[in-house]
Amino acid sequence: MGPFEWEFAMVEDSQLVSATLQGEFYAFESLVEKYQGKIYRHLRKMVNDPLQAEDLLQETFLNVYRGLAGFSGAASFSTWLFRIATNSALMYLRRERPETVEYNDKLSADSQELIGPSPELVATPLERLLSMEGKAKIEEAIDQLPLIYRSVIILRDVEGFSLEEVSNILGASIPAIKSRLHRARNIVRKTLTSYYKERGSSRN
Amino acid sequence: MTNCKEFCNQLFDYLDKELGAKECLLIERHLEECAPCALVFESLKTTLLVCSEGVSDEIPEDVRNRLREFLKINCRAD
Repeated sequence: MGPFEWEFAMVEDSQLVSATLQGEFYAFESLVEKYQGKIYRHLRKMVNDPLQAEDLLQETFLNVYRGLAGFSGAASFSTWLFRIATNSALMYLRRERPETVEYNDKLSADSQELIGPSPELVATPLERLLSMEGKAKIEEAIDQLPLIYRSVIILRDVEGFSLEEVSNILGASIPAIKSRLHRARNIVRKTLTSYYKERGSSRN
Repeated sequence: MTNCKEFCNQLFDYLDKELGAKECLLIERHLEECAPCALVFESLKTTLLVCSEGVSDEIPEDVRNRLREFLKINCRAD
C-alpha cells in the first residue's frame, strides 16, 4: 500500500471508530468486514488450529468493541487491533500449550550464520511458488516455525507491519524483533529451498 | 570475498529499508560485482515475496456468518 492509501485507510478507520462510539453499529460491522480476513489469518497462523482461531476471532472483535472507548489513537487502529488479537492468541497458548510460548532469545543468537545461496528457490518460476502447491508449502514452512519466530514473520512479512509496529504489537524491542525475523526468514527460505530442490525447480 | 559474509548479513536490513544511503550504495555495488551474493539476495527477495503473497486472508463464509451473528448478539447485549 502506498503512503496515500495508508493515510486514507487510517482516516477511514478513525471515522469508523468515531461512528461506532456514537452508537452506529454498522460502522463497527464495517471495521469487522475490513479486518476479519487478516485477523483470522493471523490467528490461524499463531495457534495452528482453525477451530480455535475462530473462537479467538470472535473473542478479539468482542474485546475490540468493548475496549473501543479506551482506544487512544496513539497507535494506529490496525496496530491496536492486532495487539488484542495477538494477546488473545498468546493467552490461549499459555493456558493450553505453555511449552510453545517459552521465549528464548538465545535461540536467535545464531541468526548471524552465513547465509548460503538458494539457487533452486531463485530458479523456481513465481507461478509455481504461488500455485496452490506453492502456497501450501509456504503455509507449512511458516507453521513449522517455533512461535517466537512465527509471530514476527507473520506480522512483518505476511501482514506487512513495520518493525516498529511489530515491536509495539509484541511488546519486544526492535533489535529482538529483527533478530527473530531474520532467523525466521532464513528457516523459511531453507525449508522452501529443500522442497524445490527435491522436486526439481523447473516446472515438470 | 572476505566481505561477503558481512554483506549477506546486511541484506535483510537492506530489504527492510533499514540502512542509510551510503550503506545501500555499498551493498548495491557489491551485488553488481558478486554473483554469489546476488544469488543470495534474489533468494531472500523471493522468500519475502512468497510470504507476503502466499498466505491467503480469505475467510470461509460460515466463519464469517458465525462471527457476524456472534457480534450482533454479544455487542448489542452490552
